[in-house]
Amino acid sequence: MLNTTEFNVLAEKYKDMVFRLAYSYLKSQADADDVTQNVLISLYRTDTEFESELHARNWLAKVTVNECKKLLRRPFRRHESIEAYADTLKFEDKSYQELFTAVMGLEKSMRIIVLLYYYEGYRIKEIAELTSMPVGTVGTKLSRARAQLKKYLKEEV
Amino acid sequence: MGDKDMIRKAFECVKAPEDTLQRVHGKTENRRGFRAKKHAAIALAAVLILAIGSIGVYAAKQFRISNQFLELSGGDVQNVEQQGGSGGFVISCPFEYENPYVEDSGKHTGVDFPAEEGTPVLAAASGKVRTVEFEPFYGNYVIIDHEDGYSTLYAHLKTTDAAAGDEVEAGTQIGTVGRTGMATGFFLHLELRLDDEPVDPTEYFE
Repeated sequence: MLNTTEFNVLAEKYKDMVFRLAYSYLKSQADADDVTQNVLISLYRTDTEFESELHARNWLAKVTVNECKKLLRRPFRRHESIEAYADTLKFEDKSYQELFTAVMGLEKSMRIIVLLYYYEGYRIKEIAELTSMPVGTVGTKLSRARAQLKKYLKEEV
Repeated sequence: MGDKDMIRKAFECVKAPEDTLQRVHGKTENRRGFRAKKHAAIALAAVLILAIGSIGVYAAKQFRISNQFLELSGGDVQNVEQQGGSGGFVISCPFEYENPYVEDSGKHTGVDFPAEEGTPVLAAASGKVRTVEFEPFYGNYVIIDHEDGYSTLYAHLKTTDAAAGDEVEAGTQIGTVGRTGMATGFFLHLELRLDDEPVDPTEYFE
């Protein structure tokens, strides 16, 4: 188990990543908050020996995805307006809010793939492991997401 | 600006609520309390199970057989009690007795109670008759199944007055004393078995 200091350092550093991934997957602040709490509690209680911070980060990403999947299996889900949430966020530029809304408009597996790929910098193979999806599926979904976001993204990757 | 940067700009303001860590700490403290409580609950449950289990064992030990399994005349009972018999009867061969004159005789699986030929043999406890048979060693014998895995066996009977499947009350006549099978005189060989393992019936007399 992590000692309190180690836990605080990791939790402070990665709580936003956990929340962001959870929000993109679940489209709900309240659900994302629940998942964040659960993931951090799991981190606090885990017996996993982390070899490095990167290891802890990957562990957190994996646990977050799993917690989200667990929550998605619940029969009752909260439905929240993305726009209302977006309005509370301070975007540097209006165009970023549009991109945010566009990404949130994708189907859920695409959303998490986009976030893991573009935001967190994971590679397709790693995303396949994190989401328990076949590598080919991740690749396909990523390129479809890219096609749908074409209007907002410029660069070919 | 690359796509990665653009997505980052679009999502960087999505952040966990400010008080996330405080709330997690509140819950982890609770969780630790919860864990301690859980351990206490498990310990309590274990103690309860053990207690109930030992009560069960005690209750099983509470199984009793009547010493009224031979219908003797009052005078006879008086007589044998004075001789220090068990359950009011003289024992000619005790439980687990090994005959030193017979090779591989094995331990005696029951207790022998000498009695007059034709003395009525009564069920020592209520139950269901499992077997009424003749066998070269036991002669005519009856097995009755009682509660909690106990059963009694009555051997060397002259006659049997029960049939397999009969429900009998304690005191019901099931046969008469004889010397069928490997018996050199008139006596009742009584066995008590717990899950078909012989136990000493004298310890179970009421």
